[in-house]
Amino acid sequence: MSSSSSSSSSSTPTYNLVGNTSVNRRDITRKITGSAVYAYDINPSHVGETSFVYMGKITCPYPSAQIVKIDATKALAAGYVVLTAQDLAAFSMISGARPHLPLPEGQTYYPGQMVAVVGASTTDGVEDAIGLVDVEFKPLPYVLDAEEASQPGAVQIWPGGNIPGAGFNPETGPVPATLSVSYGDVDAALASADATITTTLNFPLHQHFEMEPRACVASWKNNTLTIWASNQYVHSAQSTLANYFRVPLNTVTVKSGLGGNEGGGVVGMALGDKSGAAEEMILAAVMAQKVGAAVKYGPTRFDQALNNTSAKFPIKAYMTLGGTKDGTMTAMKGQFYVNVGAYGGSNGSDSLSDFYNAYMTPNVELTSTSVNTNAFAQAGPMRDVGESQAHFFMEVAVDMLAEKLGIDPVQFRLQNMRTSANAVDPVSKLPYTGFGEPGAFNNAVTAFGWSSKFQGWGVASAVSGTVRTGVGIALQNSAKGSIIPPSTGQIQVNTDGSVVCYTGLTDHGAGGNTTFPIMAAEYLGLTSLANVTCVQSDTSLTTSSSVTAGSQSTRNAGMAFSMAAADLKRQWFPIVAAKLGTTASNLSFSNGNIVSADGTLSISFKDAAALLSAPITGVGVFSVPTNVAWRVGGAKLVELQVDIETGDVHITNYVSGLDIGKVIFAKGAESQVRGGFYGMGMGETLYQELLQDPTTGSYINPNFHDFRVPTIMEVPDAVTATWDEYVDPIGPFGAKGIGENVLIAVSPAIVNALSNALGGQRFDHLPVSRQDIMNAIAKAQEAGAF
Amino acid sequence: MVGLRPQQISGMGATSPSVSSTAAFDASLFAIQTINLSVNGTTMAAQVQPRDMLVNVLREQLGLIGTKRPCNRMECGGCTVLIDGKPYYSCTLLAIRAQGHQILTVEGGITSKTPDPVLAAVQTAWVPNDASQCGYCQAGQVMAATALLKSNPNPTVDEIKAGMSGNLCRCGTYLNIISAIQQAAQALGGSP
Repeated sequence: MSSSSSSSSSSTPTYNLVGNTSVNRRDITRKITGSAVYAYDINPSHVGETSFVYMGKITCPYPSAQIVKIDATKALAAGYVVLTAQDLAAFSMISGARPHLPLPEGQTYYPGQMVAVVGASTTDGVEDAIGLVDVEFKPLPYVLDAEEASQPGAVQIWPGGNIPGAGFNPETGPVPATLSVSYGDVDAALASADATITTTLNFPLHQHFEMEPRACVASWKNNTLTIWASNQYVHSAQSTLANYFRVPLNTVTVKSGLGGNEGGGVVGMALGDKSGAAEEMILAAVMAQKVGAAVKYGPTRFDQALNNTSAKFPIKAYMTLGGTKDGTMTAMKGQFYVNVGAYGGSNGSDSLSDFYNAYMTPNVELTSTSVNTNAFAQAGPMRDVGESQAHFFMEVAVDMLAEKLGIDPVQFRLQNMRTSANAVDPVSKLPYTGFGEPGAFNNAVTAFGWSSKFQGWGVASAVSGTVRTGVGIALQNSAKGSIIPPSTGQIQVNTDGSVVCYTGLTDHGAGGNTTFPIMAAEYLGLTSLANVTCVQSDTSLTTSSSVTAGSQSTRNAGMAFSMAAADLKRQWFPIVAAKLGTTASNLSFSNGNIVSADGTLSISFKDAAALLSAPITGVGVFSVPTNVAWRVGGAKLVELQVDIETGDVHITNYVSGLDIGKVIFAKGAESQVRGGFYGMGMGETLYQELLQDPTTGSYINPNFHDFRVPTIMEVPDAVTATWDEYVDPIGPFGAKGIGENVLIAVSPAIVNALSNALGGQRFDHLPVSRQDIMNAIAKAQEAGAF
Repeated sequence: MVGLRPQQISGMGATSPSVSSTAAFDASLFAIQTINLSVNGTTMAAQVQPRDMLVNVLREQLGLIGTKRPCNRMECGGCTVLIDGKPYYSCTLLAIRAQGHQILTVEGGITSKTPDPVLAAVQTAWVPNDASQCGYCQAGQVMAATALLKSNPNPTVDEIKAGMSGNLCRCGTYLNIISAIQQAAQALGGSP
């Protein structure tokens, strides 16, 4: 087992903490000793209460049903609390493409939709209360498949049809329901191509299955609402709740876990599922107001799997590609049916932009149709928004075209990919902020040793008994960092030289609790984090820094801190300069000191802080520039073994190459690469899918056992993370961001390696099950491949 | 204290449990009794019903929230505790069954006044190996690793995988966990 990092960094400044491989995750000890209190763990004593009312939900199992009856008489008589749509303020709709109340009126639209919530004084009482509410549903016709739902005559979910109107993507703003991109002449290019491929690919439904369910505690005291929640965007939740209750923002506080100081603010994974105020958070606040007591919602694993915030959504892709003998991909044509669930709006802009940004193909025609169905609540983020799907389609199809043209898959991608020489979005015409390609791609290819491993299309690189080895590659070009709300942050220097940095961003596992103070400390020239704390994700202590998502929190926190550090200099250096007998402009932070340009004058950071009569706070506000395209390039390479007797797949080597700019928290970045591969990407490729019974629409496997999250038994033998530490011209220390980029393009790399091991047999859907592999082996043997 | 006993809020669920119509056949199923549990070397009293699971008693009555309950159905291992040195899923272990046995939780390591040496070595090795990300599965991972090293002081990689196979991590810290366990084994000198 081995693992290493390498980089092809050019000459960059020397840092004390940025990129330092000896810096450990700062909150790790709290998390492995039971000191960290997550929202799901909160007991009354943690929040100054003596008891809670526990909330649970009553759900409808059908994909769509008329709510015939919700009779709470018995539950109310027994002293339980019950809320239905009638208890909710009619004006308080959840906004979006299909505005709706937190509880439906008259009809349900997806399996597991909640129709009422109950409150009881114990968690066991919740179960009892649910049993005392008499509910009756009349199942209605439903449609689960997006393409089917888009056809005339399909079950109409909404008046006016199943294609949502102008939707709203939380990352990019309003978008039309059908997105089309067209340039060049695709049909002519296909007609004159030397080779074309046509394929139909399917990506299934997923739920997040984060380890900590989406819990919250709500309490009203003195007309002020406080929510402790497993949440990645507390300022958005605060805003939604203030709107719902029509109260000022300063009477609503939302915290991640116990709150933002060093003792709290922990979230047990988020993946886009914990952004803002979910229906249950609103309902807990409504119930808390009604009963005059603190209410805790701690969903069961089953509740959590019947999700209502977002899902990794199914897409069906019809792809046609064409190319010429010289290895040029001349045509790219695609029609995508994007299943956005019952309440989802248009979704697919990120997916489309990945296609036309990744390759220089001159003739492009792509259409994405978002369609409402009864399959699930709504499409949304799960580590990315549609980009895992897009890269699976694109990189499997591109591999097929390269094979048909008989060109090495690495060579074909290198020849057609967008690089720093052409780093402009072909549709928006915006220049990329920074782009390290083909550096990141080449780093990964070299580290993997592709040229000595790839033996030809469909030719296993090794055969030993019944075990066949194959290799595969996928290119990456993903949209990152374009979420618009500005990021604010502050750095406070106390008179004893201790430092507190403030950001609205949370740490849901990605390492922000370490990454953010590293950057604040580095801007102040500090050599250690010992005297630096970070207050996060608490609307009573921090100001909004946008959502902790979209691989942009490193950039957002860092840029705000960079401005805050400049603001500190403005306030502090004149005082220091007077003491040293120089001018403020002659001073800078360096290695734990404040020093003059020629190095002759110096004072320690601590002594300089002692010159202050009171703590000072530097303030930063970073507005995301909209005149650039934020893209991340890279490559993922996989070597694996397939046992053709059993269908067992064992991954022997994985190499990731990413163009994420300067790496800030080195250990965390490498951990992200590992986890994105085998914790999530490998699962999406080989095991995971939220299954629905085709005859009833009900979910079959809403639990950890049957959803098949990878275990330690499936880890690869080796994982190598490589970076092209291209210094991004905008990001802090030249950083871009990493979180989503470690997942995108994993699945096509694995699938292409499977094809390579199995005589060129292709796979057109995920997950690739053992049965799919056994079928491919049989076909390959039938064709005489082995 | 919280949760397991009814009627903290006056009138709400006052007839709890709702199975009162059938409770007559065995009222003792719901009778609250005082039990003593030995947790991390300390004897603690708890008021429990026979149906109460250990995970809930630890978390809600004894305030030991380090033990997590991610799935509550023996699938993920996040609730793993040691009973007399062996790993158990506390989500499906009746609290009354744990009487008379030594319970070790994640709080019994480096933050305890009397740390379990193996657990402390595991926690110490976890830090430089970055073996936790979001952390919500990690109490279970750390306890499973402790149980493994108590029974097998020098595990091979395959033995580590087998020993840790009952614990899911959605962040994907598994490779880091393997190296952390190897480091802990080395630090313990290969003796349990």
